[in-house]
Amino acid sequence: MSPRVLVVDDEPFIVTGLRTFLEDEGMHVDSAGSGEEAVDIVRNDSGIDVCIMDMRLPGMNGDTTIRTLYEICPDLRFIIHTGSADYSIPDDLRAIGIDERQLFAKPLLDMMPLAETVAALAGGRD
Amino acid sequence: MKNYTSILIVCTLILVGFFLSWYVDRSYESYYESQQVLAQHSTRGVARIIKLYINEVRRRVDLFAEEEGDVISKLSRNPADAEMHEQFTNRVKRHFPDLFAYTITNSLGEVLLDDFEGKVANLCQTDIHQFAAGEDQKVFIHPNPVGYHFDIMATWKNLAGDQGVFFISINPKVLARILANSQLHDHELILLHREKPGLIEITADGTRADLQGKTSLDPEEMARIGFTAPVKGSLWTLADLPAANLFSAHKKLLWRRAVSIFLVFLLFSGVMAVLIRRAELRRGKAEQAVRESRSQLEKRVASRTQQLSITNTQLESEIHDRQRAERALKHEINERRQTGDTLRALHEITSAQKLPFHDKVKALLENGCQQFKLPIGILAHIEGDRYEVVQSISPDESIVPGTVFELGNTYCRETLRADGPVGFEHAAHSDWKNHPCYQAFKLETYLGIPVIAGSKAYGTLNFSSPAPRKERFTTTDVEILRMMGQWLGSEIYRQQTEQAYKQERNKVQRYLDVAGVIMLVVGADQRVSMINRKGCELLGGSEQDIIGKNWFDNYIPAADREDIKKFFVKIMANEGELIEYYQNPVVTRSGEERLIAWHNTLLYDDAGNITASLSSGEDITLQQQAQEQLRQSEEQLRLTLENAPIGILTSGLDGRLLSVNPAFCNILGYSAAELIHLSVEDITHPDDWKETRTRFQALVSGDIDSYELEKRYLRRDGSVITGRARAGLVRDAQGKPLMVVGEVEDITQRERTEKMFQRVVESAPNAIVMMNSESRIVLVNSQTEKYFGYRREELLGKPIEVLIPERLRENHPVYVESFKSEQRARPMGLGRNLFGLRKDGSEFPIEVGLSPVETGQELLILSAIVDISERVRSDRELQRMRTYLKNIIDSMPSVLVGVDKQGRVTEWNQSAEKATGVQNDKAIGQPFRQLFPELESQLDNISEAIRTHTPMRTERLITEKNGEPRYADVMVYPLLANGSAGAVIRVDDITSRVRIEQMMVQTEKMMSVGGLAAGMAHEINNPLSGVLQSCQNIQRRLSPDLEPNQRTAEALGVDLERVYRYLDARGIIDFVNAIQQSASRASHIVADMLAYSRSTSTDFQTARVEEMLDTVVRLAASDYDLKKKYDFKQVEIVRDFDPELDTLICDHTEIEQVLLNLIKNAAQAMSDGGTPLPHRITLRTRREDGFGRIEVEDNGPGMDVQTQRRVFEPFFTTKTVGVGTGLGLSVSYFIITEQHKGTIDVTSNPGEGTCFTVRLPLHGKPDK
Repeated sequence: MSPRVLVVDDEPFIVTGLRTFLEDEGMHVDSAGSGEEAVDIVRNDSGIDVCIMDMRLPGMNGDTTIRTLYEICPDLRFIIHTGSADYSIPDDLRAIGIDERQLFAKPLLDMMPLAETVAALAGGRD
Repeated sequence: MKNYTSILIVCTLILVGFFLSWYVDRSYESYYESQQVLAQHSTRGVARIIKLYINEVRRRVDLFAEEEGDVISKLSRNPADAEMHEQFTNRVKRHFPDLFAYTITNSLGEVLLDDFEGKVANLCQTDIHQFAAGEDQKVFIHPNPVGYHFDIMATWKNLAGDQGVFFISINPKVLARILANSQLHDHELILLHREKPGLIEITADGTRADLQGKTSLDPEEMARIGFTAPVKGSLWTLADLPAANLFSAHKKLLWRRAVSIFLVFLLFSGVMAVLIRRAELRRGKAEQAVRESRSQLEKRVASRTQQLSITNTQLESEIHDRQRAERALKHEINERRQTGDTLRALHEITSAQKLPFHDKVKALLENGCQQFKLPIGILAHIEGDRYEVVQSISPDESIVPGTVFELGNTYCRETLRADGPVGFEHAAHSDWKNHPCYQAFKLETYLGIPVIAGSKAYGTLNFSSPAPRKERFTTTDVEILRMMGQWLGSEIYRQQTEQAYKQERNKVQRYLDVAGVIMLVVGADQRVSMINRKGCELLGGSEQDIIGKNWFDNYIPAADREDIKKFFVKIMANEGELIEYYQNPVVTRSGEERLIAWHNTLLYDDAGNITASLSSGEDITLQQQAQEQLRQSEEQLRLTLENAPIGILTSGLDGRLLSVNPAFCNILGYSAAELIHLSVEDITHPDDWKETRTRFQALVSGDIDSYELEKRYLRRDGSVITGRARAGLVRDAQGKPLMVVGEVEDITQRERTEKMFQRVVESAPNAIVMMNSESRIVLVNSQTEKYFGYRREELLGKPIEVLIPERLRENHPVYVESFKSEQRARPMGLGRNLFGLRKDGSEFPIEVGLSPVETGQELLILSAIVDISERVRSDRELQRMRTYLKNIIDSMPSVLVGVDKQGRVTEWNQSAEKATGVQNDKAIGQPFRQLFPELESQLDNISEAIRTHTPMRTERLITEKNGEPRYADVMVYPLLANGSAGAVIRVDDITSRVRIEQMMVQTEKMMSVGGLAAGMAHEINNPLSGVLQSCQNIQRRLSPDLEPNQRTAEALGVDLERVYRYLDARGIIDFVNAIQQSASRASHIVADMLAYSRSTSTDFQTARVEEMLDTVVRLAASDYDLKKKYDFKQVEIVRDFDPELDTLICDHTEIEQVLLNLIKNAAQAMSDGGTPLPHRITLRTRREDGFGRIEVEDNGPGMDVQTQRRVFEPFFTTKTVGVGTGLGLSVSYFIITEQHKGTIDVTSNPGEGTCFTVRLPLHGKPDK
C-alpha cells in the first residue's frame, strides 16, 4: 500500500514540485492551498498518512492547522516545510511527537531526504 | 455718658431706617415708571407691526383678486372643473403660505366656490355679506372648530363685468410669532377683542383655539393691564399684561436689600455699643479700684502707727522686688539691644571691604568684649604647643600681640580639644580651678572657640576676664561667638589661600627681584614687558612706569638708539645673530647715562617663535669709570714724569745757595736774585729740616758722596711742595769739599695723582688687580680681598695665576702675551667662561675688563673683575625654564612645527622628528615644504593664516606614505608680533582613528545586511524552492532509469535513452544543472545573510576548544564542496594547542562555523596553485589575559594589504565568481565581534601565508 501524502502550501509551484517528486516515488499525493482546505480534506478522508505543512499560510497558519488536523486525526504524521530560517518547533507540537527530523527548510536542494522521511513516517504508522 | 451713647446710636438707627425706606420708595417708583414706558413703547410698536402685517396681507389679497379676476369668474362658472380648481388652489397656496381657506362669492355674497366643501361658517358668511354690502372692511377673527383664522376679503371682477368677493382666511400664527418675539421679559403681549373686553384673540402662545380653556382675562388681569393700543383696521386691541408679581417682586427685592443694610448697621452699632460699654466698665472698675486702693491706703495710714515696723519692712521688700524685676527687665532689654548691636556690628565688620583684615579683627574683638562684657579678647594662632597672640584687646594692653604661651597653660587647649565653644563664668567654683591656666593667671571667666581655616585649626578666638561673670553665658552669646569664629576662620583661610596664590604668582618676579642683576624683558613690539626691582632702581621709576614703554625710545641714548633698535628688530625677525654679551648705555630718569653689560637670551612662545628678549644686565658704569679714572691718572703720572722740571742748584758748604737754575726758581716761586741770599734751611719745610740737615752735614763732612731725599719745600707764597732732592758733593782738585750740587724734582703733582689713583682703585665696586710685566700682582683693592678671600699682603708680589683655577692656568700666559701685543682696553676672554679661584679653593664665575697701563718703564695690566655668580645663576634658571618649555613642546604627541613668513622652520619638536626622521638641528631653517612635502597643500593655508590672523584648520587631509593612505588633521595657528610674523603648524596623524571609524561603518553595513536578510529570506526561499524542486524533477523525469518515465515513454512510443542522449548532446542537461546550481548558490547567500539576524538566539555554553577544532577538521575533510575542489587529505594539519586553554564559554556551533570557514578558506587558498607542498594548516591556541586565542594559519599565497583590510567586508571575495558568496568572513566577523565580543584579525605576508587570529573572552560575552 503506497503512502498517502497531503501537501499543504499556498505556493502552487512548490505543491507541484513536491507532488511530482513524491508521485514519482510511488506515493499518492493530495494537495491543499490553505489550512482550511487541508482541514476539509482530512475531515472527509481519514486515509492520509503524512501531511507536509508550510508554516506561513494565508488564513489559518501552519501551527494551528497542525493542531486542528491532529485533533481530527491523531494518527496523522506531519512534516514541517518552511521558508522561515528561524523557525523553531513550539512545545505543544513537540508534545505530539514532532521533532527536528520532521523539520525541512526551504529551499530543498534535494527532495530525496524528504521523501525518505515521508516513507519512514508512513511506514511507522502501519 | 452711657445714656448719651445709646441715644446717639438709636437716633442714627432711626435716621438710617428713614433713609432706607425713602430710598426703597424712590427706587420702586423709578422702576415702575421705566417699566411703564417700556410697556407703552413695545405695545405701540407691536401694534404698528401687526397693522403693517395685516395691511400687507390685504394688499396682496387685493392684488391677487385683481389679477386672477378672470380665472375666478371662470372657476365660479365651472365649479366642477376639478383640474382648474386644483390649479387655482395651488396658486392661492403659493401666494399665501399661511392660507387657511378661501372662498369665492358673487357680488351678493353668495358662495360660488370654496375649498372646504362649503362649510363656510356663519360668522364668515355674515362677514362676507357685510363686506359685499360695502359696510365693513375690518379684519375678522373667527374661532373655528378646525382652526382659528382671520379673514380678508377683496373684490374680484373680470372683463365681462362679473364680480364678487374673494374671501381668504389666513392662519394668524405669524401674529403669535410677532408677539412672542416682541414681548418684554415679565410682560405678556395679548391681542384682545376690541368689542368683547377680556376676550383673548392671540397671545405669544398661539390663537384662542390653541389656548386650552383660558380664552378670556379675568378681572384681576384686566386690572393689571398696563397699556393697550388698538390695532387699526382690525377688531383687535393689543394689551400689555405685566407679570402678576412683577412690581411686588421688585418691591420685595428692594425692601430685602434695605433691611439687610439696616441689619448690618444694627450689628455694627451693637458691636460699637458693646465695645464702648466694656471700656466704660473697665474704667469704672479702675475707678473702683482706685477708690478701693485709696480707702485701703487710708486704712493703712490709719493703722500705720501701729504696724509701722512691719509695714515698713514689707513695703521695703516689695519695693525692692519691684525694682529688681524692673532691673531684670531693663537688663534683658539691654542684653537684646546689645546682641542686636553686636550682630549689626559684626555684619558691618565682615562686610566692610575696605577695612584691612587687622582692623576687622580689632573691631571684632572690641565687639566681642562689649557683647560678652569681658575685658580681654584674643585671636590666637596655635601651632603645636605654641600659643601665640595674634591680636588682642586687654584693659591696659598688657597682652601684646606676639606674646607666646605654652598651649597647655591656656584654656584654649580645652577649646581645641572640644572642637567647639567652651565657656565658664566662675572658674573658682568649678573644676576649672585645677586648670594650669587658672593656677597661672587666675582667669575666672572664659569663652572661646576654635578658629578653623579651611580644614585646619588655625587657633582660637577667646574672651576672658579675671573677674567672675555674674550672668551665665546665653546661647545667643555662644552663637555670636560661633559666628565670629566661623567668619574669622573663613577670612583667615581666604587670606592664606590668597597669600599662597600671590606667592605662586610672584614667584618668578620675586626670584628676579632678588637677583643681583637687572632683568629685563623686551617684547617684539619693543615694549618693556617685564623688569625687576634692580632694573627699576637703576632706571629710577616704578615697575608700572616702565612696563609698556618703548625700551629704545625711552631708555637708550639718542646717539645709539637707531642702531640698537635696528639690531633688535633683526633679532626678533630671527635674522640676525644674537650677541650674548654686549654693553650699551641706558638713560635713567634723571638723564644720567649708565653703562650696562647685558647678557641676552631670546624668549620663545609655545610655537617656538621669538616673542621677546630677556636680558640680564649689570651696571658697569662704576667699573668703567674707575677704569677711566685709572687711565686718566696713569696718564697724568706719565705726563708728570715726562715733563717734570728739574731744579738745579749749588750751595756752599754752609748751605747758602750759590746759584740756581730757572726751573728751580719756578718750583719755588722766587726769582734767582732772591734765592741767592737764602740758605737751604730757608726753603726747607721746618719739619723736614732735621733730616735734611743730618744728610747735608754728612755730605759736607765727606761721610757720604751723595744723598737722595723726598722732602717738602716752602715756596715764596708760603705754600708747600714735595720735591725729590738729590745732592752730591763737589770737591776741588785736592779732594777737598768745595760745594754742594743739588737737583730738585717737584713731585707734588705725582704724589697727588698717585693718591687719587689709590682712592679710585679702592672705591671701585669691582675687584681691581694690577700686574706687572712679569705677571706679578703689584696692586689690589679691598674688593679683591673680598672676592678672593686673600689679604692684600698675601697677594702683592704673587704671580697672577694664584687667582686663576688650576685648569685654566696653562693657557693664561699665552693670552697675556696676545693682550700685550694689542694693548687696548677690552673685556677678557670673549666667548670663554672665566672663573676666579678663591683662597679656600672654591671657584666663582667672573667677567674681566682689561686695560694696559704704560708707565714708561714697563707695561702694567689692569684687570677689573666682576663677580657674575648671580647673573650666571639667573641665566641658568632662565635656561632651565626654556628647557622645561621645550620639553613640554617635545612631549606633545602632535607634530608641532613653527615657520616664519618665508616658510622656513623655526621650531621642530620631537614628534616632528619622529614623523619625518629629520633631527631638530637639521630641520631648523629648512623650508617647510621640503621637510613635509606631503603637506605642500598647506602652504597656502599658512600664508593665509599669517595674512588674516586666523587659525586655519584642515581635517582629514589625505596623504600617502609608502603607498598607503594616511589621514591627518592639520591646524595652522598664526603667530603675530610687530614686524615679524609666522605660524605654528600642528599635525595630528589620525589614520588609526579613521581606520577605526571605517571599521565601524563596515560593521554597521553588515548589521543592515542582516536586517534586510531577515525580512526577505522567506520571500526568496519560496521561489527558490520552486526552481530547485523543478530542476530536480526535470532531472529525474529525464532519467531513463526511473520506471514511470519508461512507462510513459513506451506509451508514447519514444526511446527514452535516445531522448536523453539528445538532451545531453544539446547541453540541455547542463542547462538544468546550471539552473540548479545557480539557485543553490542564491540559497546559500540567503542563509549566510541570515546569520546576521540571529544575534539573540545564540546559546552560550562551556565548549572544549580542542574538541571544536577536531570537529571542524573532520567537517572540512568531509565537506562536499571542498572535496570537489580540493583533496583535503593532502593538507597537513599541525596542532599547536595550549594546555592552559582548555575551554571557552561560547556558542560552539557558531564558533565551529567560523573555524570551518577559516579552514576552508585556507585550504582553497592553498589549492589555488603556487603553494609549495606540503600544504600546511596550523591550528594554534593560546591563553591570553582574559582571552582565548585561536589561530588558523596557512602557508598559502597570502594576501596584500588592501585585501587584508577589506577581507571582512560583506560581498568582498577573491575567489572566482561562483565559488564563494563573499559573506563567509563577514559572517565570521559578525559572530566573533558582535555575538561573542571578541576580535578577529588577519595578518599576512604575500607569498608566505595568512594567519587569522580569533580572540574570544574566556568567560563568555559580557552581559549587556
